[in-house]
Amino acid sequence: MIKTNFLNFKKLCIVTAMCLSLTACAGQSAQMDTTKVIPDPLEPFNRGVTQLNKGLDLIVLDPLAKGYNAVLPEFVRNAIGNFLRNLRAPLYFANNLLQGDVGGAGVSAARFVMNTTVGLGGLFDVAEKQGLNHEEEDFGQTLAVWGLGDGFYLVWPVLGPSSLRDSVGMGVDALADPVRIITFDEGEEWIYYTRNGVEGLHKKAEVVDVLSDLRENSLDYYSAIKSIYEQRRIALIRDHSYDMSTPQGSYDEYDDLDNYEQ
Amino acid sequence: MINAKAHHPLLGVSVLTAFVLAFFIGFTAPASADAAKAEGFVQKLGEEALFTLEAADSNEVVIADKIRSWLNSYFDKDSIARFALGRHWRNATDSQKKEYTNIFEDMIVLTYSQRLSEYSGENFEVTGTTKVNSRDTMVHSKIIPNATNAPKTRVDWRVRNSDGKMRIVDVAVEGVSMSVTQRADFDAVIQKNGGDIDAFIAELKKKTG
Repeated sequence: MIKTNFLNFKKLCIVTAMCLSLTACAGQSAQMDTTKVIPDPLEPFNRGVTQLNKGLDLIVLDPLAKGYNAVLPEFVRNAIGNFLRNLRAPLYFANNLLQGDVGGAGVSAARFVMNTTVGLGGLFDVAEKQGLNHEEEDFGQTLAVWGLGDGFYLVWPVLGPSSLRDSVGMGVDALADPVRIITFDEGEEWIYYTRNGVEGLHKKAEVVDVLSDLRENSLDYYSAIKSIYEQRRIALIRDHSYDMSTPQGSYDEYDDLDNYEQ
Repeated sequence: MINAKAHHPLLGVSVLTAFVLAFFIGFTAPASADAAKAEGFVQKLGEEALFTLEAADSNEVVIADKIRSWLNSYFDKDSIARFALGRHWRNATDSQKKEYTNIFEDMIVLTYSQRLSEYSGENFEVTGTTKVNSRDTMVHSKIIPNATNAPKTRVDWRVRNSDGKMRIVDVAVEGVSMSVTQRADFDAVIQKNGGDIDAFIAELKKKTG
């Protein structure tokens, strides 16, 4: 088992190195990413996939997500959400460390220990009540902190909006995921795939109403979704910090709010 | 919030929590008079909104009326409309600006009365403020559902002090600003129509029916 883990680690390093050079080739300068708009050279393709996903949502995923919300009481869904999130805590911890966020890593570690024990295997987020707030971290954010730009916007079938950088991040997180490593070691891959399926459904169920709302009320659904993705990623990368002294916190997207005054 | 009783089984964790909190508090600047005013304004509006929505009991007509009055009294509607049109505002004629601003109000009322009619009992807590510039303060809050174990939602209110009057110019949910999203949406449509504002207004009209 140790040997396998080591191999996984080695594989991870190689893949990471490859991905890094790939994203670096996308022509981004090495500075903290503060771009508001992700370049979209593949727009026609991305619009096509968005259309495909829209159809898939209407026919398959939305009914599934709505059924999930209708059948399961809210407290059960909350417990499922907490449990799934707790399984990812080791990744949040590792990414915090890689970002040099030692305080954040401490919070992730404390949350994992508390929620796994007192929170009954992660079903209850008892750490939150102690002021240890959940902060989502992934390798895409880590790459951003290291100075890599988005590359370009990329919409995946089923998975939805992403960027070149964040897609690479998703792959690295999947490789480093302890759930994957452990279940694959034990030859119980089905557990990993089931977890991914349930997690996908849970995440869909959380946003299904907002998305159908957006489909109805936006003029150009594609552009609205892209903007939401861009803003959400920036908020996650800066850990929802509002420190105005950093370029990330300067809210320069609003600078022209004053310019449009009459 | 921090339970520091000596016999508490989670004492170790509580101490850690205290350190983490102290770390953050240490970096929080003391609230200025403006910040306190903006915080009070959002707190009052939030409480009124949640109370009214609860009482309206999912009646979309009642909620739409209420939203229109809030939009006109607590929000800087004209600034929001201008921002959403972005760089195209300059190219619009006065009559286009007027027509657009009116339809914009209808659209906001329609969108949010649908969205908020599904509202069910939730609590609202202001968590702090950040000064943006000489006029604007960001008020941070959390919406906390009544259901046990429910995830909280971060909501940030950008409050502008215009000659002593507090007005909201933007609302951001989990870091996603309503105004920025709307501007990206509108910009795409105007660009698609080759900069034709009338064509854009026509599409906006279709939405508000």
